Amino acid sequence: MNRLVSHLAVMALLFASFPLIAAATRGQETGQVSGWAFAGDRPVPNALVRLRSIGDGHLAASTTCDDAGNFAFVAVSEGTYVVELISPAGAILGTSAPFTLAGHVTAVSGVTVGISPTAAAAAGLLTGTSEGRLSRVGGFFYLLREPFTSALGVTVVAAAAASGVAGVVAARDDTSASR
Amino acid sequence: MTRLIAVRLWLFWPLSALVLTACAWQDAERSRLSPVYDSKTGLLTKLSYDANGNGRIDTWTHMHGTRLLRVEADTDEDSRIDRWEYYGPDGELAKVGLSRFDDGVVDTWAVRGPQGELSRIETSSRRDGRVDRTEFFAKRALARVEEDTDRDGKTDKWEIYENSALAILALDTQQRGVPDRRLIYRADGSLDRVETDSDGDGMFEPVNEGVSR
Repeated sequence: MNRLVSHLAVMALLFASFPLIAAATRGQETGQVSGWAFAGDRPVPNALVRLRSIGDGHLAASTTCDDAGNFAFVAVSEGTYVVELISPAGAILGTSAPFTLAGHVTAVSGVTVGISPTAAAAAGLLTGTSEGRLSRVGGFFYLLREPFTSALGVTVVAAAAASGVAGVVAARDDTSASR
Repeated sequence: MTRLIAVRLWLFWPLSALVLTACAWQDAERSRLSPVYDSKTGLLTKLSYDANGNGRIDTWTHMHGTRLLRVEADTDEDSRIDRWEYYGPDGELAKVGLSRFDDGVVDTWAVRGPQGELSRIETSSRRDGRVDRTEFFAKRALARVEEDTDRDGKTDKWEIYENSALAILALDTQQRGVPDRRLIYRADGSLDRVETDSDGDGMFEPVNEGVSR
C-alpha cells in the first residue's frame, strides 16, 4: 500500500513538473496573449483561433473563442506572432496584426482579429442566435447584404419630380440594370 | 346634339375622376416631401422625405440644383442615421456608408464597381473617417484585404484569398511600405512556407522550408 502511495506521489510530482520540463525544452514560455475576434459590429463566437509565429511559421497554440469572441493563449514563448481565425471548414478567414512578446513584454492584450463580415456570414459563423439581428432592418449586416439594390436618392428625386417639386428632374434609376 | 352632350358627359366624369385621383396622389406625395432652396441662388439644396409614408421624415437628400449629391437615411427610424449614399457626377450611386454599431457614426463604406457589383468595403476601425482596412471583392467573393495596422498612412498587411480562404499573408515589418515577409498557405489552411525579402529587392526567399502546420 505504502509502495503504491509513494509510486503515485512520484507520478504526481512528475506530472506537476511537466510544464516546467516542457518549457525548458521549448525555450522561454513567459507570455500570454488575449484578444477578440469580430466581424463588422459583432463578435465571432466559438471560432477556432491559432497563434502563428511569423518568424519560422510554426504553429504555437490554438484555442477556441468564447461566446463573446474572446480568446486567450497562455505560456507563449518569446517571438512575433499573428492570430489566425479558422472557419468550420478549416479555411483561414482572417488574421490579426503582428505583435511581439519579448523581454519585458510578457503579455499582449487587445489583439483583434477582424474578418470580413461577408466572409464570416458566408462561412456560417454568424448564424444561429444572431440571425435575428442579421436580418433586422437598419442593422449593419442587413444593409451590407445588398448595399446597392436600392438607391434612396433616386427614389426621392423621382418622387419629387412626380409631385411637381420645383427644381427637380427625375434621375435615371441606374440600379435596376445591375441587379 | 343631345347624343354629343351625352358622350361628352360620359367622357367627362371618368376623366375628372382620374385627374382628381392624380392630383390627390400628387398632393399626398408632396406632403411627404419638403424641399429647401438656396436663398441666394435659388438652387434646390435638400429634399427631406418620408420614405415609408408614416408621417415622419427619415431620408435627407442633399442636392445641388438637379444634381443628386448624397443621402442620409434613418431606415429603422431610431433617430440615428444608418445609411449614407454618395452619388457620382453622373448621378449614379457610387458608394454606400454604414455604421457598424448603428450609432449614427459612419465607419464602413461599400463601394460600387462599374457593373454595379460590390467592388470593395472600406473600414475606419477607429471610426474617425480614416480608412485603414480595405476589402476587395471579385465575383462577390473576398479577393484581398489591405490594412494599415499601425495607422501611419501606409499599408503594412496584405491578405490574398483564393476560394474564400487565405492563401498569402504578406507583412511589412520594417515600415518600408512594401511587404518583406510572406506566409504562404495551402488550400487546407496549413502553412506551406514563410518567405522573406530582407533587402527589399522584391525577391522573396524561403526562410524555413518544412516548418508547417
